[in-house]
Amino acid sequence: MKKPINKGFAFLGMAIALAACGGGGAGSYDPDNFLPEGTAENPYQIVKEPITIKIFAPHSSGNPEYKDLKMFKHLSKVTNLKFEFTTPDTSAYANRRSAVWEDRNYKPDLFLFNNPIAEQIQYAENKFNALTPFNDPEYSDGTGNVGSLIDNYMPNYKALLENNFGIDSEKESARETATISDGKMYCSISAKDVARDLTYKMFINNVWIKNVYTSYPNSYCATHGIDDASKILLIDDYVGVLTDFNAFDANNNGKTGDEIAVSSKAFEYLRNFILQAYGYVSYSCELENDGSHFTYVPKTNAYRNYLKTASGMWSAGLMDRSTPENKTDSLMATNGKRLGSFVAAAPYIITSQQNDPNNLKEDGTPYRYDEEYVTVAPLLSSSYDGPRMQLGFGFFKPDGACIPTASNYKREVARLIDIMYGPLGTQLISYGVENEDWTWDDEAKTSWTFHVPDTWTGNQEEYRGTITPNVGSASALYWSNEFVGKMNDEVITRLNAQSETYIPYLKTPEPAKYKFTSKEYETISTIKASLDNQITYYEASFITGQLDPNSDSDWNDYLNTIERFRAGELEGLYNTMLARYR
Amino acid sequence: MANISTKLSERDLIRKPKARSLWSKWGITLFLMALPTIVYVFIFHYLPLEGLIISFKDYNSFQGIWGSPWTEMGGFKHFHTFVTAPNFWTLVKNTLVLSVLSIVFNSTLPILYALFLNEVRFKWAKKTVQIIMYAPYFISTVVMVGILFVLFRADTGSITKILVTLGFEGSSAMSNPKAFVAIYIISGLWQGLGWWSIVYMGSLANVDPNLHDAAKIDGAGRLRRIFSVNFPSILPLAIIMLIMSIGNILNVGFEKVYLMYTPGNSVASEIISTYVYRISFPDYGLPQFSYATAIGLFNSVINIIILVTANFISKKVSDNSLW
Repeated sequence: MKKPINKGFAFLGMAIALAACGGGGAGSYDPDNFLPEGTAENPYQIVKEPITIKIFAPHSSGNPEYKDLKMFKHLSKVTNLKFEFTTPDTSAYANRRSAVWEDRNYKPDLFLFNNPIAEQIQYAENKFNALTPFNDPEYSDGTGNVGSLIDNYMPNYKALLENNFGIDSEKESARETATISDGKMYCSISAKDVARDLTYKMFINNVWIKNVYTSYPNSYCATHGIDDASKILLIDDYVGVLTDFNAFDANNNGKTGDEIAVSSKAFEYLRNFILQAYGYVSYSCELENDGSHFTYVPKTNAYRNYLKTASGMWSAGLMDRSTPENKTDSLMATNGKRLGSFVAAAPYIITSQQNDPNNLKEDGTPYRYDEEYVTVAPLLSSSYDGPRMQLGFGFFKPDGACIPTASNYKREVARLIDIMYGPLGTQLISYGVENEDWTWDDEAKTSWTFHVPDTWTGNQEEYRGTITPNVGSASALYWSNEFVGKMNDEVITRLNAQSETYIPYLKTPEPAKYKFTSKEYETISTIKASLDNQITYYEASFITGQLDPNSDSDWNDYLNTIERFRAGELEGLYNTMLARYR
Repeated sequence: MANISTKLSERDLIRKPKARSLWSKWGITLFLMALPTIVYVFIFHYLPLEGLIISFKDYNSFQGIWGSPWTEMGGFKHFHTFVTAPNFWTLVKNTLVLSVLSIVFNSTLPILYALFLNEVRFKWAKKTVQIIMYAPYFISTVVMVGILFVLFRADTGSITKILVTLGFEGSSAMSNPKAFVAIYIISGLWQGLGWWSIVYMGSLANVDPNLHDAAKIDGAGRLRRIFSVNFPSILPLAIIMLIMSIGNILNVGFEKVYLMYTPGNSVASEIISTYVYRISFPDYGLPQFSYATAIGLFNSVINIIILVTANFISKKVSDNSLW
């Protein structure tokens, strides 16, 4: 009677042992299943037999589930990998991501998108061995010697790093951005070089300028020879043109005073534009042009000059009174075609009506109000004649993709990430599958056309959201101008061309290559949680006339308050960090 | 025989209590009925208390709740950071102003509304008013605040236009810190008055009609009966509701205040819960879970102290209390 029981226990023991080796255990890793260079027929194939890669990524309600996105369906098909997604909502992403590290039952193989640099630094400082370095030739784990993932398995990414993604490395260095103080890269770069996505854009109605110039000889435009937006060079010119919009019938509709000279979603968008005419682009700590030190901008005279200008615009009635409450493009768009100038991603978002069938052009096509708007280049002022500057979001961020050390499939995941940086990946994450979602227009591949099915009832971006998480959920690993810039679309092409104006002037106030310690990140976060609120409150008060930026008393009270909120300490932290880099 | 039959009938008339089973003696049925709630409260309200320990630690997600190191100052670093923050008193003041005014208006006006609505004689009119009054309660906060922004828009807002005709400045009240509290309270009343009065309407329906008849005989008019019969009847309930509100005095709802935020009103709309949100989801660095939890714990301790004090005072003054 005992023997069958013993056999049963033995069988159970074997089953448990096998189960322990299965799933995520190192014993389950089969190095022979991995194809480092694909096959002759399919260079994208990563494994012989399918394996499941667990991906943790942010998700917004604008996208279908990741498993239903065309991009990942196609990647799965060509790589022979299966994907298992955990995709918390973008609003809860930070919390859920923190919880993942504590979860004993779930270990992702890949953290895709939005990887915070502060986490990488904290884990590296404390030697938690949580994330796999991409560039450590000595690295090994339970599956054997892995080595440098970039050198061994990521040829596309390696080439891009060596070429700095085609960006002048004097401006910004991808390698420096990705590397932290121990010399390692724990996360791949998210890179973008598409002009329209690198800065905020100030648009102005060029037709109105021409109307005022030709119809009103006493106008600022006429007396200063401004018949085109490109002739606006100083902030005073810009304010003068706006004054004309207010004083004359700029839109030629027979009514004076129905024009709103300028609007934006919030003061901060106007701030960036006006402030740069006084020598800074940011409202926090900004690296001086000579790189010598960081300056806390809101305490400078340049900032005070910005407040004076904005306050003057407000009191003269040039600024949309709803600017502090607009918050969204759609609220700003309620004034649509009455706006002479505004900050937006593109004019058609604000003018709302793209085609007016009741207003035909000479060629018989419907009039498009968004075509009236052009970008205003960065300006100078009487008190600043240094280099022109435009706030730049930066070409690189160290937040692309991380591989946890708990994953057995580091090589496979590295290859997957690499494909996403290659031509196929950049196309997939941008606009989907060639010859299905888009096609080249000519053999020379100078442009391509995106195909939205006739049966699709939403707009183009909503359709793109069924292909890629790049709509709403996350930035692309590589948003490449080489591909995206060739899109054959009238509106996009014009927008790209207008945005190119800004490229030579882009300045990132806080270059991503500079990194703090985790302790410093914590202190800065605590200071900014209180200080930023004070800055925006005082900004609104100065602009709307509750306080007077010309009054030394008001200005000194403001300076004392921000000092009490630790503005000086914040500036000190930035300069201490900068000194470490030297 | 007659005696015997009399004795029997007397014996029959005296009913002995049935022997109670242990089941009913210990009230097991009642315990079983309460069990799901007890389990729920234990799992979702007591077990998570374990997480409070991170307010005394420098939590990091990799080491987890128990593995993360203790903070400096004997574990009280985050509490010290909060109470020495330059905006600490502003946060407390703003939170208290919103909370106290909400409690005052949200506690008294539903009672007055219920007392007077109870006097409406036409049933259809009463029902119609009730439905109209509590319908706004079902509008989501996001939509409600959206409506406020549209109503108060500087150029096209209906209320702004009315205010301009009355001689006020033509700017949006949503950016005025002085108007923020009033808009918050009034919009809250508009949304919740009807709903909050339901409990009092139910209580008024149970007032003994004999009390009204007796009052009438004593010559009491309608107003007198409202304040001498109806009001005392719902007073114990009102006090309990008040004490419970006071117990949440520092827990002003985050959502509405956060949505109503504009740079112009930020000195009035920055309250403890919005500050916690910005600490938890910073633009810079990692979420500061430990610091945010410390602020939450600080809040809860103050709330408990105020709750116990209010309960004690109420017990002494009115004989009504939670315990």
